[in-house]
Amino acid sequence: MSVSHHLDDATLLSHAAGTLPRTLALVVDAHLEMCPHCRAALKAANAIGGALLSDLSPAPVSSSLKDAVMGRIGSATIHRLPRAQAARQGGVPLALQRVLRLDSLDDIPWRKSAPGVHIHKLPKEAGEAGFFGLLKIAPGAAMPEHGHGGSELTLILQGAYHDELGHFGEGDIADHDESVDHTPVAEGEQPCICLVATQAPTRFRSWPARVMQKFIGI
Amino acid sequence: MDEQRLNHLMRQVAQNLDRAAFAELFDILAPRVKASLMKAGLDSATADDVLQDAMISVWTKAGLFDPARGGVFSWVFTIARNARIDRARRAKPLAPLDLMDWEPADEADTSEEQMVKASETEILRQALLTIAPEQKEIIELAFVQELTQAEIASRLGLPLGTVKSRMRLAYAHLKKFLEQKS
Repeated sequence: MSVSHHLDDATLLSHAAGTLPRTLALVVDAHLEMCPHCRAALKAANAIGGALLSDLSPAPVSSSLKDAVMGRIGSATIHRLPRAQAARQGGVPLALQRVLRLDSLDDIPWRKSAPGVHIHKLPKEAGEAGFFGLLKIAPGAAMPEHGHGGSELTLILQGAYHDELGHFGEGDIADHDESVDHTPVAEGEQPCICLVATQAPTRFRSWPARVMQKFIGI
Repeated sequence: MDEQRLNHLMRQVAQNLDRAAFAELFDILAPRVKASLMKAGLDSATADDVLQDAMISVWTKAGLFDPARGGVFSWVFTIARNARIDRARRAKPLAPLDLMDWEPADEADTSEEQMVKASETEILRQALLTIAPEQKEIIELAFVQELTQAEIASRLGLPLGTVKSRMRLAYAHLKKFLEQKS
């Protein structure tokens, strides 16, 4: 797998700052698992946070709080070894496993929503707007141009498509800011499976999300 | 800030569960983490709760800290950020993946890179002094006040696209600084 479409730097900084909405952050985490390039970039972004932290004037911390922490560490469980080095299984990134609770993309209980289009919605929390879920689109679809609105991230987990922006394959993330006039086409034999998170109200930019919008009117 | 000293204390905690070293780390780190939580708008009681969680994670996860992968402040920044997110999502905790938890060992840096990384916080502190004020403002709103892009746009009365492009410019500037120095 060679990832060629990466996170926008603004998305990366917001993720490092911990201010991306939860569903978008989860898509970013899943991409990070698949993308050494963005992992390295995130380290630099975290270091910016570290530099700002080190520059803050200290705020007083009560001695009772320190005593409480010193008391609690005696019984705290030590993390000795990295917890989750196991490779993702069945094409499901670890970040996604935690909400999907399945080990394989083959086990997803898809719901057919239109010819060639299946969706599986992931649980949202109170107050979360937009779409959060998986899409499976059969090869061969082509979509008309659309406009765009709020944030949207689309991570390709399996299969591929290409458009004027290039080839989007496994591990690539569509994190576009600008509306692009293009006609995407699915590649290969197998369906394209994507993880998508948006913030409503939005008009989808990436092709898989637009397929979904057209057929299920989200 | 003496990063050598910080790294030494982290090692003492990780290898020997050294409580005295942890107490010294606490005195350096906790007041700054507290300041950042207060600036992020948390009330004092919540900030204290998150601070406790974060400092206990510093103890339990010290063995996962690797100076080759970034400075102590950068690591503690991510620990505190995750503790804050965990608290906010207490009903259904889902902290971001901890990069150090699963990153393949073969991405570890060479010793030459370690020397650079050790002073990365210092380099970035210098770089932050040279950044355009309108970019610095946005970086601080994002990292210190912990506002979303949309919140920053609304706070400053700017289009979202302008906020994003200033973030990109700031990141490019800081990254260039890091690369030049390495």
